[in-house]
Amino acid sequence: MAFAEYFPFMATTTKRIDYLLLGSSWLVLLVFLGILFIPDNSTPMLKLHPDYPPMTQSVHQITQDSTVYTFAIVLAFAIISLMGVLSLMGNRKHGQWGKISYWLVGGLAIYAFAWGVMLWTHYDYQNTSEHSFFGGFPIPTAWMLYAIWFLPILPMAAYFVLFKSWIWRDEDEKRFQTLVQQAKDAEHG
Amino acid sequence: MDRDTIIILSVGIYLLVCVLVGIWALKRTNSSHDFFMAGRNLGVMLTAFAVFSSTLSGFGFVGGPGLVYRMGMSSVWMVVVAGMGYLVSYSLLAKRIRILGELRDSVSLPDVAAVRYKSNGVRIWVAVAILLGVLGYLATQIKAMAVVLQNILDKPQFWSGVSLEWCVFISCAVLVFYTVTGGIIASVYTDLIQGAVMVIAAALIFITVILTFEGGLGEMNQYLIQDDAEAIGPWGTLGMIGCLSWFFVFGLGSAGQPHVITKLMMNRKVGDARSILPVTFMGYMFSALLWIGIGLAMRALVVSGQHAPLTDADAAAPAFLQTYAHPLLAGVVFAGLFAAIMSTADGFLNIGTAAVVHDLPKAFGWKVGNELNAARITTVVISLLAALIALYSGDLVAILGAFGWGTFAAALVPVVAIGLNWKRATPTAAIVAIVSSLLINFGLKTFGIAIPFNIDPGAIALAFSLCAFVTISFLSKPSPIDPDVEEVMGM
Repeated sequence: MAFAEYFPFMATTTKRIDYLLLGSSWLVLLVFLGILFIPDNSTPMLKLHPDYPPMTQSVHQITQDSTVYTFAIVLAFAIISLMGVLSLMGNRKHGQWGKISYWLVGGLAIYAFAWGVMLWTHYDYQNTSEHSFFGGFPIPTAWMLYAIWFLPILPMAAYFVLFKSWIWRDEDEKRFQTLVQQAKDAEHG
Repeated sequence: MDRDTIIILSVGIYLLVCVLVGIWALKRTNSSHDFFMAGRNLGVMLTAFAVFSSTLSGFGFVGGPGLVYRMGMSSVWMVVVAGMGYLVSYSLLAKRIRILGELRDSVSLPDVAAVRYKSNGVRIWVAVAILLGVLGYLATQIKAMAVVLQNILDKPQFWSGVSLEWCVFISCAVLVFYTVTGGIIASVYTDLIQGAVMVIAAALIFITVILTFEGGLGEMNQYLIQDDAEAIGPWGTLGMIGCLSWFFVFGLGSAGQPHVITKLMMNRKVGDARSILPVTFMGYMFSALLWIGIGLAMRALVVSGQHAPLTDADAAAPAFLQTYAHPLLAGVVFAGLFAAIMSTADGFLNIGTAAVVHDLPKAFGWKVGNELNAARITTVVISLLAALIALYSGDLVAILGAFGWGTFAAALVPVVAIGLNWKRATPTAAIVAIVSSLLINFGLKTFGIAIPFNIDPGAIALAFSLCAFVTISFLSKPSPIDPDVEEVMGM
């Protein structure tokens, strides 16, 4: 209730989705445009390996350039937010969020947390010469492979578990069959 | 039996199986509805395998390991984002596209878009975007198939000096045979075989990668760190922003790949989507192990001096298979490679044919007598055209190839994936989104415009078309939607 009082233009779920979609889309575009127009943006990120071309080696460490690094971090979380908005949008029903939205938001929050830890450990990784390993990979890469790759399983589990009670209920199936029958009847006059 | 003979036998058996599936599916293809939609009768496993094997084309088996060899972990983001990508795609599309498909008897994406927006203009532009993308993608897939076949056949004991033209002819003949005879039914059943081959091959290859180094993955990564620590860090040598652009375009973009999402209209029951999602994700995840494993292993073997440097990054997969994999496994993977290419190519052939035979005539009010026969003839014509582009177009194949994933993502994610879930979306916004995505992608590629920080052009096109679509819809007067379509969008 309080939310609607302070933000009357976002009083309903439908309106919230409208503005969330508009905001997250523009945020991604603006960050991309911001990156394109950063002064001195021609710094090469990679070069041909001196001994084994066409293999490449890194040239530039992004953490050394605070403006670019800040833009990159904002871009990462903007993209994750946009994915979250679209997942919520797709699982809405008759203008309602439903219980699945808590699972989706919770799953995305954990996903975003894993991203945060990966960025943090990567910052350390770039500034040290002694590297720790987990599961055969350096720590930030291990976060990428073992956490970020697999964590979407959580919201997927919610999709699977809540499918019959929210996404596609028995009454939806019945209504769908009725609509199909009406369409067939209309076609045959 | 030597390694080359085992490889050629494996590929030969695989191609024979594809032909047999085509003959089997011929009896089950009695109408254009069967040809394009498999009678909307696919089970969970068939749909799931068709979806993931269509997503992971030959690029995943050759280009992917090549990119990892070249840039370290950078391209792995295309794989790592797949889970979120599938979640977004299934959330936005799986239910609604399947319902609308049956309710309005739609057999293609342009059909669905026309129903949603009540607009023939949208139908035409979606069909045009699909056709342009199909020709480019198909040409690159055919060329990849032919190059691989040439590598296998060009041996003194088989067919020394075989030309690329012959290889295009042989691989196209098999592809066209089963797609013409069995339409999408043959396509999805071969996808099932192709998907199974890809999963098994990739899992075995990853085990081989671990066993190649005495100290397993740890030893492999030590070699990589000593050479360039950033290469095995999360962003590889491409850098964070370039990787994020891939994360964006490959994550959201999966909801706009027509050869993939069309398959979500073919499952037997709407409720099947519940199980199709996890099976799709698991299948893709296992198959992608090959992409990561071979690329990193070859890079580590070269920088540690255990293998001669490669002159072509795309040779990473063939070189690893020839040198380190058991001959039988190498045979299975080469068959898997063909499987990956063909499973994508047959999907493209089908949607391209639908655009020509079904969507454009419907939009312009032309009558097509026997749609099934017309579809079969058109399949042959499109294949011929794509083969000619692959062989003789020079740079055009690269330009059209770049039209692939990014163009579909930028053109179809807003219009189809978001449009089916957002009642405010308008036909004008949809057409602007498609046209702008085509112009940006084509413009950046044709004029060779370099984008700072290695940002993927498709990401810029997708971000722009998304904003254009949302903003124009937001500022426009809502356009009318048919009551049944509106009800489906609320379900």
